[in-house]
Amino acid sequence: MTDALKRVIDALDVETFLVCESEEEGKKLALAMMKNLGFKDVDLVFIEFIGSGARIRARAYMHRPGDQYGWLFAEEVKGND
Amino acid sequence: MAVILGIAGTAKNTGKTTTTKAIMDQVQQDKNRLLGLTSIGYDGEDMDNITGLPKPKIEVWPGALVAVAERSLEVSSAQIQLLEKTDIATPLGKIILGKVIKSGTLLIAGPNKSKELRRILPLLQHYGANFIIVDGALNRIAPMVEVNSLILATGAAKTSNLTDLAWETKHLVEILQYPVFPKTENMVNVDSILDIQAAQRLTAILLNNQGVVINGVISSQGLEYLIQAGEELKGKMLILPDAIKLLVCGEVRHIYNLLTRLKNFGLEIGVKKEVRVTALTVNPYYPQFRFSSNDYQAAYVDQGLLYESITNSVNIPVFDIVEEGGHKLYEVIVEKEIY
Amino acid sequence: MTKKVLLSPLDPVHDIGLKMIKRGLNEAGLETKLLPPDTPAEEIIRICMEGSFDTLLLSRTLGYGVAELLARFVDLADAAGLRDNVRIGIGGMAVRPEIAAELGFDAGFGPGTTVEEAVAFVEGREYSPQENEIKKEKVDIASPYTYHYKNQKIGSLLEKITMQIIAWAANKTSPGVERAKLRENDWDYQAFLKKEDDSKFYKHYAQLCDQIPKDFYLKGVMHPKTRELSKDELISLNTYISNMQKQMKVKKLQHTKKLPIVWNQYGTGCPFMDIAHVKASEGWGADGVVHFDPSWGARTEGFLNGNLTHQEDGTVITPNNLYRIHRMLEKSTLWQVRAHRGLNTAETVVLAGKIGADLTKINICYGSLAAGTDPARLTIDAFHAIKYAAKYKMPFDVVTNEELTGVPAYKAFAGMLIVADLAVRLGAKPILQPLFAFSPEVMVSGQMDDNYIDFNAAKIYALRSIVDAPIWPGAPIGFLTQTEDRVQSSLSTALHALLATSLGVDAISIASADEAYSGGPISIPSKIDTLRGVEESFRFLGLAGIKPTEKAQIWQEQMVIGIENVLSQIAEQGDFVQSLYDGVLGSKEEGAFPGRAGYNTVREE
Repeated sequence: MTDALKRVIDALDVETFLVCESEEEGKKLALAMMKNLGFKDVDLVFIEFIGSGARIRARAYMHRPGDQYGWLFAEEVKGND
Repeated sequence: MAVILGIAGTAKNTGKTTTTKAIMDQVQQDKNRLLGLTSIGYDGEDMDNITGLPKPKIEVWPGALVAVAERSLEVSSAQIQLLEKTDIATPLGKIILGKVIKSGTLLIAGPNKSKELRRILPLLQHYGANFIIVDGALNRIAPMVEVNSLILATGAAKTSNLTDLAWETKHLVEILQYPVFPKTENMVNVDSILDIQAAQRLTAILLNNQGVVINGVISSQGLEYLIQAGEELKGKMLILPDAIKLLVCGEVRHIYNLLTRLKNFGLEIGVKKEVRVTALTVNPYYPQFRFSSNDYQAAYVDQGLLYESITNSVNIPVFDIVEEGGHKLYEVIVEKEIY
Repeated sequence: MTKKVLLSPLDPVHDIGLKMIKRGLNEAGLETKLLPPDTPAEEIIRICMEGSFDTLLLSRTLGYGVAELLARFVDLADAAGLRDNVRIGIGGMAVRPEIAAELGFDAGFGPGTTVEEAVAFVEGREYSPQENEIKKEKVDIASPYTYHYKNQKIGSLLEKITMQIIAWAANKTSPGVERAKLRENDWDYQAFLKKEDDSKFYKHYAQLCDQIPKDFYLKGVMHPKTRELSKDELISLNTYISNMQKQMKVKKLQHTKKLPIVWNQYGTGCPFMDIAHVKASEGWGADGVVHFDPSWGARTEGFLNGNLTHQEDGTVITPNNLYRIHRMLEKSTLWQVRAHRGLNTAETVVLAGKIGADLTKINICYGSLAAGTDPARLTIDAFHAIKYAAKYKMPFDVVTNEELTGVPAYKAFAGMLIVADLAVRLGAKPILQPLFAFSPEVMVSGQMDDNYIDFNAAKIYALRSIVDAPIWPGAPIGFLTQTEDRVQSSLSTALHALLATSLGVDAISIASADEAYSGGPISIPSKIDTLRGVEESFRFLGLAGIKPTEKAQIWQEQMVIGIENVLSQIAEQGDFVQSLYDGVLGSKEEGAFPGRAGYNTVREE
């Protein structure tokens, strides 16, 4: 986890619109996208597919309750790492 | 006469598809046989995520005849020539009769009730099929009354406790082998026994007559009520249309216990029509739940122990298809064909 | 014979879905009986057989082990002989036809099952998904209106003013009017589609244009801000569209009230991205889409040609761009091409009319006081534009955006009513477009200090008391109330939609949740946000309403008096164009400046 991501209090949501052929494909793409972004603990909060694609809200948890929270120990964020 | 072979699983993942494929391989090699293929639903595992339909696992070859729902062709690579479209509706469209003209995979989603299977089987024969396979679906068995030879696929997926599995299989086969009483002219006919009132009437009729034919099913509750008549049942006869009607009423062990107690009181229990269980196939595989990852992983019971415990519990041939192929099973099926 | 349906929830508690289906079946005239939750399988089968039911509908949420349980039910029903005469359907979460087939049911109904679907199954009709598809049709919001004046005094003042405009316009023309005439007479859309040689037309056309279009036509010089889309891009776009159109569906936002219809704008700068925006708007329920062109387009004499894209707000109007966008609209989608404010107003109407637009947008007062076009020039161009709009049967809205510069509503309305009256006299169908906005007027004077309802309601009440005409608040509703936060922004839009619905208006234009963001192009998710919000607001309100305070009534009366005074002044002066220069319809103090574009280009014929 990068320093900046340690400051994410709990989860990071990615809201977008994916061009796809079906809701199933949209789900796959959304999860693949989150994995491509390097997130491990990912889920799809919402998807609505109509015609040309799917409105999605994908989520990556940085800290679930009970985890050791990065932001408790976070130091100053240094640029892009 | 044609072989009409049903293949039923006692649970998901008991190797039904493996058995079906093994028998099909044998039929393909047998020059005297023309395959007719249908099912009583379909095997829904291994869904294709895009279409929502399962990936077909069965390969068919040119000349074979099939009876499947229209939409199953969408995911099949085999080419099918339409022979006839029936008015039998399923959730996946109307059932069509077709002939394979190019090899490929085929999703076998057929008619899903007895009444419809009864219409489809003669149609397959009409087009020339003389070895018809009716593939099962899930743990359903009711429409299998329409076949003249039944293969049961069981295994660790039903329960990985081999003692339980052996007992359950033994009871299942025993119920299916209840004697045939063809002469029922002097007996009183009643409809399905589904509640206490009907069970009371049944008991009263049975006590005043020599025997009763139930044209349908009797619930486990009905059987429990009948037990209260105790010794008075001695010498009386209780006839059902076929043994499957007994199996659909509850857990095999529970039903078997109730029936055994009734028989111990001297009640004779039989059927009008035989459902011939030709053989059993056993499969050591079972999906094991993993709490750590909240999903299933493949697991196996000891193959030798499984085979031995089942073989020792039943009086019909048992095969491990993965281990020995379908050759011997096929011989048994064809040999048993005595029509 | 009436079909009898037995409904039985297999879940221990959940039977809401079945209760809803039961109500629908009853309304369709079918006889139904609902069993209590958790009735044993044997009991359900017995009741079904004894009661001679034709159909059995079960519901059960799928979960671990449930498939086996349902398969067992099917087996028991089959063995008991129930299935010889009774068809069995299963409904519930996660149920799909594939699963119903595996379990051995006659049909499966997942979430979103309609009553029609259940009725079709019960009646043994083949269910075609088309029945379920939302049928949308274009709504002509102008046709129910008579345009009769309820305020006779205002009516007669307007008559006087517009007769003067008609007399003024009779012997005048402009380069814009001439281009429109040329486009009308010498440019054929069918010939364009067949890619016939149009060099002769453009040679003539170039003579009526500014330097940039002239250089484009005569020397082949591209406009510095644009690029031509490549052949590869065009071919790929066709593939994208044909794939997408097969699966295209449209939502309907309205709930129990049929109006207002909902408009979205597009104008990303690129016709391809526009198409993506339009398809999302359509999918998520917009009834109409508005083509936004770049502001420089309004200040340049003449249109360009070809498949042009650029990275600024607004998509360049060319025959190719309009054709490409129009071609991929759903049949039910209304299409508006704005003409309202610039030097190409008349020609825009002709081009839009020939290509197939449903509506356009024209307002002399806004265009000349707040959008930079010379009042005399826009008056003559709009005069002809209105006549073309009548010819091509395109109603148009008369937008009052001059309010955004600080012109008070009553003055903007006076100008709007003049254009509307002129339109009716020229045979066109104008639509009144008051703003639902947190305008400078109310910021200064405080009419929205307490709420956003009263002053907006006053506007509608005032217009309704004057004339029987369609009203389409815009554009977009809630303008200047939205912030960059998408929840706030979407909610504000939805609440203004709620007010519009309550006031019974005919249409609304809504912004995206990115309305207040100025750092870049708006995104499709932000469009969907407000469409969903508006859908929910319609669902929330139904036939109920919002009650303004007594302030609405007071402000309505003040507004009408203000309109009367402005119109009296113009009628007295007897020169509409001069009154625009003089600030009668919006003064410099109010932020309205007569435009300079096209100054001195009006000629007498």
